[in-house]
Amino acid sequence: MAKVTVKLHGAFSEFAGGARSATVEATDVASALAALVKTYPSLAERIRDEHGKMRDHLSVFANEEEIRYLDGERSALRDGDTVHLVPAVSGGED
Amino acid sequence: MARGVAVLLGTKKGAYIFRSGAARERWRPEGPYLMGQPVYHVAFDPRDGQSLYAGVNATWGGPRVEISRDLGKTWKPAKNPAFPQGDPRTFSRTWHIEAGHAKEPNVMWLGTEPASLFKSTDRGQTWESVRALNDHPDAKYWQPGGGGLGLHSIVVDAGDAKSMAIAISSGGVYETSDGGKSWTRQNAGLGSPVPQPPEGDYT
Repeated sequence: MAKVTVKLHGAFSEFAGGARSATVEATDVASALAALVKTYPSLAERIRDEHGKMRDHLSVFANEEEIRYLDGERSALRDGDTVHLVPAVSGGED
Repeated sequence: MARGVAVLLGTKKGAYIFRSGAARERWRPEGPYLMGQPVYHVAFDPRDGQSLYAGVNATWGGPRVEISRDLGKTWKPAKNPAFPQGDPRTFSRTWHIEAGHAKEPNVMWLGTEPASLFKSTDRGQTWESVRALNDHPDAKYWQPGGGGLGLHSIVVDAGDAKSMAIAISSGGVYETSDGGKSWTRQNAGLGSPVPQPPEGDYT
């Protein structure tokens, strides 16, 4: 198990009662998110729907790379790594 | 005559309460509550005089119900409604929240997208699927209207705790007279933009 930091940005900090980060033990991003939800249960339904699918407009980074360009939630983590939960911005509608 | 009146308003950028006196000449705004988040509906619970319920459909964090027990000063999210295990439907929007009958002070009703009704028996903290409606044989004919496939209206009969009506876009009006155990389509005389089975209208 690696000791990693999960940083909560924007709305995801609010969903955790204002917490900005948590230290968790994990092997990959999925297990880091699972550990995060144990610390902050209020995040559970904000991160995933009832089928376990990660919600839209949530970007997850492992260090400086978005996990969809790595190995998704199976992206491996090492001691000292940081996972970021970032509200994704999209649009362009008039 | 009422001493004052309050209008609860959900907007794309939060919820507001507008208050006025009996003459309704001037309105005083309060809010925004849940700032920056799309609020489809705000409901007041007249049975306790303190609770507000908001249907929030946020870009971030998904849909949810927020509950205030102090007329909007503070809010906490409820546990999301969920379909029974194995049901492929996913709760995707909150459309309508309605206080139950005065004789059932802990009951709340919730209309969602996809068009479904949920019942709470703990003042909105948790929600259970009303399967007699959500799995109704007609459900296969319901089609999304311009705003989606939502159960957007709930009316509780003040004179009978077992009677209520709901409306779906596009599915029409359904009524129950046994507290939600069975539902009857009440669309006679209404036109419908969706393909019609031979036995009736789905407006």
